[in-house]
Amino acid sequence: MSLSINDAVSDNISEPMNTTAENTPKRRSVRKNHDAKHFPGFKAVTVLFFAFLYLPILVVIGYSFNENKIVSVWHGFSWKWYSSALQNDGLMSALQVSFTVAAVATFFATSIALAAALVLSRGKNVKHAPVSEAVVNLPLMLPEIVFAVAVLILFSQLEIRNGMLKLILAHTCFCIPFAFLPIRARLKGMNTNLEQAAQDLYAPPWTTFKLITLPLIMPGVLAGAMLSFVISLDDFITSNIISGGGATTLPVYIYSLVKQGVSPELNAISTLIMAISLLIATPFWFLSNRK
Amino acid sequence: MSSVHKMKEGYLNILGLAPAYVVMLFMMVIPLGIIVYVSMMTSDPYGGFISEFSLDSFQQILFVTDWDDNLQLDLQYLNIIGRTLLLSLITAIICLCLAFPVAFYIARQSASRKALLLFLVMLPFWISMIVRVYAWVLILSDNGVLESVLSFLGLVDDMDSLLYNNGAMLVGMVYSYIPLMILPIYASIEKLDLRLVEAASDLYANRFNTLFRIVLPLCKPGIVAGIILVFVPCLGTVLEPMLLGGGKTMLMGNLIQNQFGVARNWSFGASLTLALLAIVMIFLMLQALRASRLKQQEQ
Amino acid sequence: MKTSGKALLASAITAMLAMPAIAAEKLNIYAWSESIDPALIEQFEKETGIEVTLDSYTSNEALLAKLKSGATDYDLAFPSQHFVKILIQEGLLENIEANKMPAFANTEDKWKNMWWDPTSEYSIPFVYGTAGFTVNSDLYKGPADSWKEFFEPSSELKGKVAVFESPDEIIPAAQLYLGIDYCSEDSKEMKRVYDLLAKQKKSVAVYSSDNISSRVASGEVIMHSWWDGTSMMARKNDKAPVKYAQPKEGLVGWLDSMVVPKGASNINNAKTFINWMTTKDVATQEFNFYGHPPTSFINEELAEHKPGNSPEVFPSVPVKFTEACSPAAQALVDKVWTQLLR
Repeated sequence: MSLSINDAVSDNISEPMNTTAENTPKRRSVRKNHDAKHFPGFKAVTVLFFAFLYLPILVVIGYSFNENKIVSVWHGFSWKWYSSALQNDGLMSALQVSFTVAAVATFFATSIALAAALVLSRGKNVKHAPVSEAVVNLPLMLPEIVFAVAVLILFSQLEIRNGMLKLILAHTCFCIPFAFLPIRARLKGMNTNLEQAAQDLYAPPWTTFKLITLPLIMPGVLAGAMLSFVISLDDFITSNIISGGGATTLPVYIYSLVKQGVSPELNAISTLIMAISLLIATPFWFLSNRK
Repeated sequence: MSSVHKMKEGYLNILGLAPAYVVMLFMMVIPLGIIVYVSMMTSDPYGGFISEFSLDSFQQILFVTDWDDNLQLDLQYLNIIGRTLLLSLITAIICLCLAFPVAFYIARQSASRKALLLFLVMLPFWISMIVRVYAWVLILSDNGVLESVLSFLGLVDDMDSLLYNNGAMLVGMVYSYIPLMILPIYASIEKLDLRLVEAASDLYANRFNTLFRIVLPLCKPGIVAGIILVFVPCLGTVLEPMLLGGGKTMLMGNLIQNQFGVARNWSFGASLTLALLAIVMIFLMLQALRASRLKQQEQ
Repeated sequence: MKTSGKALLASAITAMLAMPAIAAEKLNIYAWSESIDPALIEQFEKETGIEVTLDSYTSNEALLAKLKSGATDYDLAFPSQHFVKILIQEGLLENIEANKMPAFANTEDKWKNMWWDPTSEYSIPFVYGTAGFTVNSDLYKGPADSWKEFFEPSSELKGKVAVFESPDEIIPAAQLYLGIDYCSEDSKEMKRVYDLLAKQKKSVAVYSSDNISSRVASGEVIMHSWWDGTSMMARKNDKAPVKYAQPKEGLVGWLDSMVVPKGASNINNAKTFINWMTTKDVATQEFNFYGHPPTSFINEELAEHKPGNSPEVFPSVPVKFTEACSPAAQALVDKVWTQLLR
């Protein structure tokens, strides 16, 4: 039951790796009564789909440059909302909280995920491997609100006071599968010849790991780290429920602004957080795409 | 291999997996246990819970004590659960109808274009959920972008707000989760043996038949994976009902969140959480059953 | 490759090390949305070197839920009178020996040792005001002198009424209108409250306590639950066409106090802030910003809001302060609200 989701997710993450042309249409140019591999209208749907996907984002970005205080009425181009956003104390402290939480949670999540992935891919005689794999991916199986509510009660029973600590613990937990999947995919797709050779030459396991395995899986580790960083940075549901004094993350702060109504400054802030996410996520994509 | 070596390996295996197990035990398993416990306790009217056994919170899902203190069947929460299931299902279906052609189209492109298009599909997914939902608040709100555009074109005079209804939530949900549908379908189309499609067309099957008799059945694993990936998070979605639903039309996600917030009814929130969990489990189990039956048929 | 991995590790460790460094003198405030003048916060930070973070809420229930859900690390909050009593009862507040603070001396005598904190150990009063409703005077020409117009709106107002998102001040208002006592434990009486609100719901566009100003000023709704001071500030600052009603049945009174949640990490900084907020000049500036009259002494000549130009905060109708309900009464209040918002 758990595996179906895991497989689906790992398919997503690892799929970009084999996008090489195996079935390019050029392979055989047979013209039959029609070209069976093209369906009419699919292209149109695709174009519409990308419009649907990107127009809202472009609207947010576009109107962030609107001089007018009323967002939807265009008055002229201006950077002023960005400067007022950058001078906003609440925003800056939320940014600091988000980055600290994301950095620390990513560090722990990636370390834990790396250890687990190594055992599951390279360990010998691992008992109950599918169970362990499911355990590592546990957070993916639940709707996030369930997790959020569960840790809220946990923290309130343990009387953990420090808001940052709460955020870091929760984020570490749900980031683990996101760090795990790219590393696991990398290990699965990797050829073990080099490791085998090192072992044949009596290299101690640690040396083999340090000199051979780690450098080879580094792209996977980095990809996992970036993915979990972005996931942590963008998380709303859990952070919103457990946030407390001095521990308001960026999405929670943005939510409080959205509730107060649309404003160009909010657009500017949204554009900034989009830029940050994409700046981190784009290298992830190319790392995991690399053969 | 010597037995000492073997033992060492065993230790390493345990050592490597231990941190993940510890985190999951303390952050997932134990908290879920606490949820079960809280659901069977009494809510404190001021918030939190009192350690007094009571199954009122489960009863509250189906029954209400009316103003004369009689127990009455009350469908309001079942309504919310039903609405959540229905909207999640519709979201999954719309996502599927949109995603399939897109995935198919992308799979037919050259390698470099494929990579680019897939990147573009995933890109919005990395943007904070709150920003993506905000975009729709901006578009749909009273005097919002859509109304401005339409009235500029002279199509409408004065529109009622398009926010705060099921439709607005649906748009937000489709928008939020559609990338999760495209990727697995794309993956299964990639694996598809195109000779079958060609064979079909050689045999003068028309496009319609080729699509529905050959392509779709072969892509089933991807479609199923996509439906799971969209449907499950939709069941617990919180932001869309809060910002696009306006607090008047609830879904399970924000209903649960409310119980731990302003409504201060932890036990009821916990029992609703278990109900949500049960729905997810049933759905996933049906899926697993079907998958294993399919496997048996193949053998 | 290796270096980038190390860089990642290094940055993670730097971030961890940076955490204690951030922990200079801090103060985490949990306040009503847009209640404290940002200029004052800045001035306070400059004068004391204490770094302030400010989160906001829009209902007493939200505050109670947050504090009750366990340690939230807030150092200062602003509950209304009845919630001060509940919070003390539930052991959720620090005893700050308020009666020995300079802020206590700055407080007008009539607000000292009130029923919610009879010994004045836990709270220092901050500002007071009323909850009522506001009409958009461009779009509404009818009378606004009774709760009848709000709870039983005429047909032209269908879909144009907005109500607070929590029951704390709405149910007392309904009780005023129906002539029922606050915190009634009689379920027959509460059923009448429920029936009234359920009938009103057909005309309600949204239940929300956020973004009220733009919703009523833009005409998206015509009638909106609101507080006196904020309604007045919208009229004065934004020239919004809003009029705060003076219902003859009376307005729902509240008084927000400054309290320190149990287990706060920066109690002394919170006390510094409380003392500072009640000094004459600061209290006057806060009055000018927020519109709600402070309970401490102010510089009368510097205050912008005077009876002549501020009918909102100097009401002409009786004001009845809300009370702390027993668990049984509270359960009825919650029952009305959950059934209403089904």
